[in-house]
Amino acid sequence: MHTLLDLARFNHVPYFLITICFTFTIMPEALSTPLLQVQNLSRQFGRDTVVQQVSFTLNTGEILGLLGHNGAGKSTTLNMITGTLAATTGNIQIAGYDLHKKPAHAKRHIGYLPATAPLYESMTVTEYLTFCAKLHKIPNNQIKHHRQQAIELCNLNAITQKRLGLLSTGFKQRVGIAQALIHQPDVIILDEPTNGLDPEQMSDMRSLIKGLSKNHSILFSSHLLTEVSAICDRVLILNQGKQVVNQTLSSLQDSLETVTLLVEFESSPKLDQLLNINGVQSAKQVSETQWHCCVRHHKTTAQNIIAQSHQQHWGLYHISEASSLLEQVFLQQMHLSVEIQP
Amino acid sequence: MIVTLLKKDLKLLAYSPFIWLYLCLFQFISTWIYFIHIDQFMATQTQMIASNALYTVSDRIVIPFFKSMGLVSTLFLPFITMSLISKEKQQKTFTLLSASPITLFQVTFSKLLTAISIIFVMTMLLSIMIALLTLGTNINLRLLLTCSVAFILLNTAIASMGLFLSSLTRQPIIAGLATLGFLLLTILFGWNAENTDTLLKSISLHTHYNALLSHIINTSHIVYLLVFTLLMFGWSLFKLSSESWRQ
Repeated sequence: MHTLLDLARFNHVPYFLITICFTFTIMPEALSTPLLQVQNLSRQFGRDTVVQQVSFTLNTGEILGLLGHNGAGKSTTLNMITGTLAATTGNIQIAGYDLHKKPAHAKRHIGYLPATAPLYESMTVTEYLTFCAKLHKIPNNQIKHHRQQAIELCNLNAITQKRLGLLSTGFKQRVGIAQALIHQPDVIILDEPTNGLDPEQMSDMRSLIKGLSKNHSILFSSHLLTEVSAICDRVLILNQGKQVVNQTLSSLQDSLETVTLLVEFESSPKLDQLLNINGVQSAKQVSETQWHCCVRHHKTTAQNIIAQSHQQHWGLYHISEASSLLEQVFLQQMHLSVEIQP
Repeated sequence: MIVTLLKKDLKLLAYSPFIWLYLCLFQFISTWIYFIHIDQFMATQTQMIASNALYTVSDRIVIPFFKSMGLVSTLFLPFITMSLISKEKQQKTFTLLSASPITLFQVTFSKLLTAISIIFVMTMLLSIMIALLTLGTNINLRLLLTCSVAFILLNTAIASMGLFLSSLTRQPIIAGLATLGFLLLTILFGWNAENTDTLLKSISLHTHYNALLSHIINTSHIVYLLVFTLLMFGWSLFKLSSESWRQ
């Protein structure tokens, strides 16, 4: 049986040393280095600072959601990461390559779908994807294979010979994603990929993005909270160009100071009775049977409300979060009222 | 990569009815002018024989024809150059190119080559018409070659100006009108050449083009047109690169 020491003897010495060096120096670094590393990214247009000191990382297999109002700086951030717009200050590393110093090397590791899919409308899907493959310098003998793979992943088999201008918005977005992943990049960047899609197409798009995350890291922007909470592992919230949150969804839920619960009773209690329940900070009656209760430690407080209702015979028949936790975090971070309309 | 980008641009042009209509119209107008010059030659032929003038068919048809076509192409070419970069920006496809691992030089140069390809087709159409005269008379083929090269040089300079103006805006129509405006200005500079400043005269692209349409080639005119092309190409590249520079 060969042991490491056996390998180290005789002719294997150089290979052994190389292996050891690789294992103990390069590999751990490669494994620990995030695919995308953004440090202190800022961008000014004249006197306006559109993006200010944004820093985050994207690890292998992760889906990171970039969340913010319209005009919060999401697209500008993505444009800087994809090299279509220069950062005023800051540093972007993609798969270990500095985007500013080695743009061609760095760009090979990213696939980008901008807010409007960049399509040449008179080309067919096949022609377009072939062109995109050539743009990414895929060797001629591998183009067909890459193209077919992208077509199957995005479920475009039925429309390969159709002109892009004749496709529906949903299919255009799918073709846009196909071009972003044709060169099998490590990082896929999607700028509001569900914009303009109907609910069914949105659901399909979410499934597609989820599926892609098995082999790629995904950074995508959206202003739809449901979308981000359905797909993402981690959330980065931008407000007026500033990064206000960079956390996983589970830690976000823990970080919430107060949660608004929607509670429904058959015979409504009085306000004082609700405020006396341990954990309830404030309450507001929104209809004859419905209350919005702003609570701390929502899990234990919910149990307290259930117990109290049982004791007082209020006939509790519904208790849930009044809106998604992510929405509440988002609103709290945006310094807006968490008050929810009935 | 430049070839890939060039092929893509030519393919998109070929798919569009615009380019076929453009070439048809150009061919129609150039044929019309061609026959006007032949008619004029036929009308003055007897007078020239009587006065023992030494003008040949080449002098009476080829040079005036290319002179006229220089003006016609000035009006035509902005329709091609206006969409070179601005259309990519308008359709958001420029993002696809700038996010790809290719250089802006490759993108810009391929755009210039696209325009030059169309200019080649236009020159071929004109040269074939003139070459057809050899069926009935003697044509100085060297002069025809010189005129064709001059026509290509003039239009390449025009295309580079169109490329630069197209890189400044997202609206092709604005790029086209700006190019047409600048070109008409250069024609005006050269038109009234005898009465105007020599500086203005020397700026005009058409002054240099018209000077090249002769039996004797003055390389300074070729150098001017080439330098003008390089300058405009450089500015286009500078403009596009500046968008991805640190502010």
